[in-house]
Amino acid sequence: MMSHDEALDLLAPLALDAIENDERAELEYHVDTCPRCQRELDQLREVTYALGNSVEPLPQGLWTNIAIRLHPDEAAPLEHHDAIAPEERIGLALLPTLDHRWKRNRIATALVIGAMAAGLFALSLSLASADNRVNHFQKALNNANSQAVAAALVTPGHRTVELGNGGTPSLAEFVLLPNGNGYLMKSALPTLNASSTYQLWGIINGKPISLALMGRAPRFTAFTVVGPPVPSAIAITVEPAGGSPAPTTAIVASKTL
Amino acid sequence: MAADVAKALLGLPEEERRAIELAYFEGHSYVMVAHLLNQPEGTVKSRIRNGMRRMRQALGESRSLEVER
Repeated sequence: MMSHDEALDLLAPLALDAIENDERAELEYHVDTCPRCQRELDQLREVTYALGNSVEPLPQGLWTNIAIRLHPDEAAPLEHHDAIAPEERIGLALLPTLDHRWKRNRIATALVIGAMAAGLFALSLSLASADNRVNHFQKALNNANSQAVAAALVTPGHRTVELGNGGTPSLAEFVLLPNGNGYLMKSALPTLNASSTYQLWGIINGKPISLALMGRAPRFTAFTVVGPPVPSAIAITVEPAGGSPAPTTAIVASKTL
Repeated sequence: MAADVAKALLGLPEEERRAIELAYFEGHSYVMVAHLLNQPEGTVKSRIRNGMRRMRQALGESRSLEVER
């Protein structure tokens, strides 16, 4: 049985959905039976809601300026983000890639600093009903991805490709653009356990190059292939959460381009 | 409102802000945050809690100022 003091210590991580799974049930049971903890949790969740509503797209040009200020030695690759449409940039900026941890950190920092420049852009609170950050991010990503997919499907020269295997011809479908951007349109890939992720690879000159981490239940994935050379095929494998620099398991779905 | 949130977050002590960023924006559990920051789990829990309380207070003051305007 979790003591009140132990539960009190865990309320803030709980409000941020940052507790261990094995603690959740016991903690939530305590909270359900403890009015004091309920009040404290409600107050802490007000902050979580506020954080969730602070995630907004950045205006054109601001990303580069922020990146230069934060990482002057790494600014050049980020400038690519300003060369694409804002709705695409949202998807790309938040896409899980192999180096997603530092990228997400940069995004978070940039978002905060971007928000400090409050006069520069207006903020939408359309997701005010989201009750935690997961919902918020997923909705934002979903919207961004849907917009990007919709725009891609009316872009001249786009093509759709279905990745499958011998038993199932269509496990994931992507739309690819002539400029190298690609977006996941739909997925029938089964949900993996928390310690695994799907990883997307481009086969370039016979070697697999990581294009993106797709998560354990892929719903939105965006990537950019800067070529030539362009991939001769794309493939999906199951890798440890966090991704792998090279495939470690058999391909679960692929398509020759 | 986002500007208020950003101001509240940036106004936190570095250790508290970093713990909240790792937990919230990067999706780590407090145990992983403790590991990443090489700090005791109890310290991280306290920093997240204190930081969130500070933010709530700061956001409350922001709202009060808006109401007064």
